[in-house]
Amino acid sequence: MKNAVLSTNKLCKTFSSSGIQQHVLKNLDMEIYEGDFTVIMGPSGAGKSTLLYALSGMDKPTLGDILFAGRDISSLTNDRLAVFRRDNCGFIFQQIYLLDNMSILDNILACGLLVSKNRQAVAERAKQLLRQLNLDESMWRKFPSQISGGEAQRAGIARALINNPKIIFADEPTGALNSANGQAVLDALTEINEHGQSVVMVTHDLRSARRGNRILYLQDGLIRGECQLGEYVRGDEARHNRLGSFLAEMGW
Amino acid sequence: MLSAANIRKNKGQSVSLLIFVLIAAMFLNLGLTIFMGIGSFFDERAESVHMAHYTAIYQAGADAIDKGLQYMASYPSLEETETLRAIGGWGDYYVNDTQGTGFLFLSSASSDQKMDAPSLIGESLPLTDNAIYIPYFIMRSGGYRVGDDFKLNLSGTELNFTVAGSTAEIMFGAQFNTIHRFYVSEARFSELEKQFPENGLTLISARFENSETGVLFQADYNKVISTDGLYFDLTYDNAKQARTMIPLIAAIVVTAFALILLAVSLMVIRFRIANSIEESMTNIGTQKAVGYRSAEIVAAIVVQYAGIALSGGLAGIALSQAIIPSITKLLEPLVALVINLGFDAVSVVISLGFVLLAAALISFISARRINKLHPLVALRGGLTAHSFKKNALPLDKGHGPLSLLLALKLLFQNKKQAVAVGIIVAAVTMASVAGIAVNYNMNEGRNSFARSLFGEMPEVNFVLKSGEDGAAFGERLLARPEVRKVLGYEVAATLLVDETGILATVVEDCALLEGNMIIDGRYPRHNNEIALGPSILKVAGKKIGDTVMVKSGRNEKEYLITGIVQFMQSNGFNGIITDGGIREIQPDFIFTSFNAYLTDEADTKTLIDGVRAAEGAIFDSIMDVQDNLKSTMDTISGVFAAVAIGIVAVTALVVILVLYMVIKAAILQRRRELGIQKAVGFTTFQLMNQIALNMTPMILFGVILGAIAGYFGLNPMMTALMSGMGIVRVQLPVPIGQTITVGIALVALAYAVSLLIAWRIRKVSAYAMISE
Repeated sequence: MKNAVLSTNKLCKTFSSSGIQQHVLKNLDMEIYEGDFTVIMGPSGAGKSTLLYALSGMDKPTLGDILFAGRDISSLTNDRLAVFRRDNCGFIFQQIYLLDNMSILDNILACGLLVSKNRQAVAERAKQLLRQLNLDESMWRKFPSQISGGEAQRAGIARALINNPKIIFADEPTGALNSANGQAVLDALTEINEHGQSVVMVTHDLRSARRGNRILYLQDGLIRGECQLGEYVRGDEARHNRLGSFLAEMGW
Repeated sequence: MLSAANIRKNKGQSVSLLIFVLIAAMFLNLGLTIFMGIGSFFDERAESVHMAHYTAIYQAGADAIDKGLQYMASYPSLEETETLRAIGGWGDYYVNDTQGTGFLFLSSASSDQKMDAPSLIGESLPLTDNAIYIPYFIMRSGGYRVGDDFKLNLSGTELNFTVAGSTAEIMFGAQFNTIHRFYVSEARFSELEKQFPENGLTLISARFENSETGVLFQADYNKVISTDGLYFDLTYDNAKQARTMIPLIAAIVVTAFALILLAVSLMVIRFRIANSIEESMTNIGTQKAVGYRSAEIVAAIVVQYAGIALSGGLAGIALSQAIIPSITKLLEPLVALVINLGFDAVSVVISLGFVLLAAALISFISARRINKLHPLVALRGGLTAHSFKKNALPLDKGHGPLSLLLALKLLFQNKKQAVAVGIIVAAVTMASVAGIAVNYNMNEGRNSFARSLFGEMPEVNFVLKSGEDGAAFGERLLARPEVRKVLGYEVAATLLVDETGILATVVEDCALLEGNMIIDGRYPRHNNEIALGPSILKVAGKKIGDTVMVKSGRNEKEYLITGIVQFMQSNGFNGIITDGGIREIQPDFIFTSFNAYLTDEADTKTLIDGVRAAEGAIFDSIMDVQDNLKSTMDTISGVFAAVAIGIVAVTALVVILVLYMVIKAAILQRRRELGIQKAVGFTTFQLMNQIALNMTPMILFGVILGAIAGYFGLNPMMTALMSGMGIVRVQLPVPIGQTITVGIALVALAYAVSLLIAWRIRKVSAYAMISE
C-alpha cells in the first residue's frame, strides 16, 4: 500500500476576467503517492498546469483542500507557502526560468542557501548535482544565455533537487527542447525517480509520458481516467502501446 | 497617438516625472522672478518717488554745505539738487520690545520735498499733534498699527508719538541701514527744533541723468569737499545693493537648487527612456516592421517627455506664481518696501523654455539608439541589457546574508543606474547639507556667524554726546562688577585711501578685539599702520606690506597695510585703524563710542538700566548689541529657515520619487525573475529586502558623497555669493551632528520607502508573476 504524499479534496480553481468566470478545476479529488512518477496528461486547456501549480502551492485554489503529508496547505499565507515550497518542492519549468543575471552555479546556490546556512556544504552538493547531471566545471560560472537549452534544463533539475525536496513538479520539462536534449532531461528525471524521488510531471508528449508509472488524464477540470505503467509493463514499446490505448480510450 | 499610448501605459511613472519637473520649474521660476525682478522693482519704486542718487547729511550750518552745493551744481549730468532741514542724531527706537539703535532723524512732512517725498503705505492718518510716520520696516517688524504708541530716544531724550502711518523708504530705514527717517507735522517739527538746538541737520541731495553717476559723484565729491560736519553720505546704488543683496542671495540659492532638480529630472527622463526602450523592444520591432520610420518612433518619445515637461513646467510656474506673494512677504522686512513683483513674462518664458528644451533634448539624445535597432533584433527582444562579462560576487565565495549578496549582485549588474541614483542623491544631499548649515548659522550658531560677518560683537555699545567725558566714563564703566572689558570703538570715520572713500573703524587697542575680522596679516598696532577691507585693497591694487595714502579733510599720511579685515560694512570698502593712527590725520579725534564686554553671569539689561539711571544724560545712545543682533538675525533667519526647510523637504521628496521610479521600473523589468525566486521559495519580505538593499548602497554612497561635498563646498559657495559684499573668505561651521542626522534619516527613509514600494509584490502569486 503506497503512502499518499499529496491529496486533494473537492479542489476548485476558477479564473475571473472582466466578469467572466472560467472554472478550470471542478471539485477535483486525487492523490499523489510517494515514490511515484506521476504524469498528468490531457487536452490543451484541460487545466494541467493549473493543477500542477495548485498542488505545489505556487497558486492558491479557489475552493477545496490540498493535503501535503496530511497537512492542509490550501489556507496557508503566501509567505508560509513560500517556505513550504522551499522545504518540500522542487520545480522544473518548460521555459526553464533560470535567473539570467546569475551564473549556473549561483542559480542553484541562491535556492540552496535559502534552506541551509552552511555555504560550503550547499556549494559541494550543488557541484555534485551538476556533475551527476553531466554539467562539468566549465559550465558552472557561465550564464544561462551562454549554454544550450538542454544544459540549462539540466541545471534547472539540479536547482530543483538542491534542497532534497519531497516531491518534484515538472511542467512540460522538454517542451522547449530538441529531441536529444529532451531525452537527456527525461533520463535525468527517470534516474532521480528510480532513487525514490516522487515526481509529478505535466506533459502532452507521449514519449515523455511513458517515463511515468502512473498516468492521470485530466479533462474539463476533472480526472477522467488513470493508467498504471509500473513494473508490470516493461519495455518502451509495451509502455507506448499501453499508454496509447489508454489515451485512445480517453479520446486523446 | 504613440506618445499618448506610452503615457497611458506608465501613468504612475509619468505622474512622478511630472512632479519632478513641476518642482524644478516652480523653484526655477521663483528664483528667476526674484533674481530678475527685485532690482527693477526697487528701481521702479525709486523712480516713482523721484529718488535722489546722492544724499549727504551734514550738521546744520557746516561750512562744507555751500561748497558742496556749488560742486553739485557744476557736476556733469546733474539734473537737480535739493536741500532739506531735519533734526537728528544717534538714538534708539523699539521693535517688538527690542531696542534698535541708529542715526535717527525727523523731517517735516509739509516740507517742499521734491526728491523722495514721503510715500505712505497702507492705512494712514493725517499728521497732527504727536502723530508720526515711521519707516515701513519698523512698522512691519514691530507689528505696529496706526494709533499705537511709538517711542524714540534721541540723544538721551525720550520722545513719545502715536503712529499715524508708515513710509516707503529707499535710501534710509532698512534692516541693514542704521539711518532711519521719521516724519512729523510742521508744528511738531518746529517744537523739536527748539527742543534740540544742537541736533539740527541739513540734507543735500542730487539727482543725475543716471543713478550710477551717484557712486562716481560720491568719490569725486569726497576728494574735493571737506568731510568736516559730514555725518553720512549715501548713494542710491549702494542703498539698492544693501537692500536687495539678501533677497538676491536667496534667489540664487533657490535657482541653483532648481537647476539641481532639473538635472535630476533629466537623469530620470534618460533612465526612463532607456528602460522603456528595453520594455517595449518587441513593440518597437513591430512598429518598425509595419513601416514606422525610426524618426517617427523617436519623435513619439520626444513628444511624450516634452509633453510631460510642458505640463509639469506650466503647473510649476502656476504654483510659483501662486506662492510668490507669500515669499516676497518674507523678504519685505529686508527690502523695507511692500513688494509686488507681479507676473514676470521673461522669467516664465525662460523657466518654461529651459525646462522644455532640456527635456526635449535629453529625450532625443536618449531615444536615438532606436535609430540603430534593426527590426528583427527588436522583434526578438533586442540585445540583453545585462553585462555578462563577469559574475560579480559568486555566492559560493561570498559572505553575508543571502538577500544582501543578491542585492549587491544586482547592483553590480546595473552599474549605470546605480551611478545615476548615487549622483542624484549626492546632489540633493549636498543641497540639503548647505541648507541645514546656512539655517544653523542663522539660528543656533548665529553668534559665530555674526562674529565672522558682522565684526565686533560686544554686549553693549555706549555712544556719548561728547568725547570729553570718554576716558572717565570708560573707567567708571570698567569699575562695575558686570563689566570685564571696555574698549574705545568708533565706527564712523570716513577716510580716503588712495583717493577712494572708505568707512574706517577706530579701535583703542586691537589686541582686545574679540571678533574674527582679520582674515590675513594682523591688526594695526602702531600709528602708521592700517588694516583694510578686500574691496578697497582690490581697487587700490595693494596688498599686505604695501603703503597707502590716507586722507581726512586736508590732512594726509602714508600708512603701512598690516592685514585684511572682513566684515559686512560698506561692501568691503572699510578698514581698521588705531586711535593713535587716526590722530595723525584727525588730530582732534577722541572716542565717543565705547564697547562694553560683560562677564558670563552679567545681565545686559540690568547693566544698561543701571548705567542709564546713573548717568543717562551723557549718552547719545546705548545699544544692547546682542539684542540688536537677535532682531536683525530673526529677520534674516526666517527667510533662510524657510529656504532650508524647503530644500530638505524637496530632497526627501526627490529621494522618494527617484526610488519610486527606479524600483517600480525594476519590479516590472524583473517581474519574471522575482516570480522565479518566489516560486523556488523566497518569501515576500526576502524579495522586498533584496530590492531595498539593492538601492541602499548607492543611496548611502550618494548621501556620504553629498554630505562631504556640502561640508567642504559650503564656504566656497557662500564666498562666491557674498563676494559682492566684500566678503572674500567665509568660514561658516557645518553642524556635523545635524548633517549626520539628515544623512542617516535619508538612508533610513530610502530603505523604508524602498520596502514600501516593493511591498506591491506581496499580493502577486509566484504563478502569476511567472506566467504574466
